Amino acid sequence: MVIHMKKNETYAPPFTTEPEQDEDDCEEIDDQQEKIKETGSVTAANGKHPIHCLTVIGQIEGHFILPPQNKTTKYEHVIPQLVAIEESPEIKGLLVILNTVGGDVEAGLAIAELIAGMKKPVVSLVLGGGHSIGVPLAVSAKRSFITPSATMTVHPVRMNGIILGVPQTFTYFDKMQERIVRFVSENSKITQDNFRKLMTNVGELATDVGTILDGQRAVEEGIIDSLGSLSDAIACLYSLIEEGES
Amino acid sequence: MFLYTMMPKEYIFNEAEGTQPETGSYKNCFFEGTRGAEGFVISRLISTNPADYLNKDFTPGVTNSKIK
Repeated sequence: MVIHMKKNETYAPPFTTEPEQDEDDCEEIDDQQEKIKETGSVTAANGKHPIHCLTVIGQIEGHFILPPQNKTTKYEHVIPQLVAIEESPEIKGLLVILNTVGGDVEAGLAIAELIAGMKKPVVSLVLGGGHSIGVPLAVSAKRSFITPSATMTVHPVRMNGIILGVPQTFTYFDKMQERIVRFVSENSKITQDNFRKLMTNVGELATDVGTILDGQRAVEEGIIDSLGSLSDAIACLYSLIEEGES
Repeated sequence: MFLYTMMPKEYIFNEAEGTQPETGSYKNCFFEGTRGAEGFVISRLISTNPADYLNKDFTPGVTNSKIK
């Protein structure tokens, strides 16, 4: 847009905003960005409490690097981040946002155990999908939320590579599965039996056994604490932080 | 390798052409992208600090010469 003005004429914007406040806001953002550039450290931003946010997306990558077409969350990135957050006196809480298709069992359980073992308040929010190993990750937080449109798929564990057709293989599979069942039941309201039933349900998935839970049903089954979205998760995290401080 | 994912293994282990992204770091942040003549071209920022995502120098698509 070209604005033609006479000499000494000042331009008034067509919208009646408060220019002084806008300038202040801009300066504040510039200041904040400058601080990040200089120190790389945590800033409280404009929130009530300084929190960090961990986004778990795509495949959870473990001991093997997955082919490049996969979007991955790598445990070698996440584990030190969790340790740093727990150790930092500046960070008061953690929001874990999940949109994952699952992945490596041991990497997922390692991250979930670390989150469950944190003293700092942690709240999780499942958006889109929190499938398979995403379930233990979602329940590892002190409080968990799921949006109504999100889904969680619960199904048996699989293995990649050569498998010996001996009874011991099935025992090993069962033990691996039990680690997930036990973790989920210990960190949520669902019982081990009910979770196993969801895992081995037939008639719901076309080429697999298992269950697809939408947000409402994930709450009804006791896996997730509440239905909600970002504002609910942040409000819950703030209240957990304030409870801890009082 | 035990996998607990709803993705079919044909999707995960499809040997399609492509290369792993390069990684770099700067100011407590990890970056994924490619190294060019003028610096590191960011395709993904990996940080738990929400404020980092407001930093215009860390935005995907930006070339940042300070990322090592």
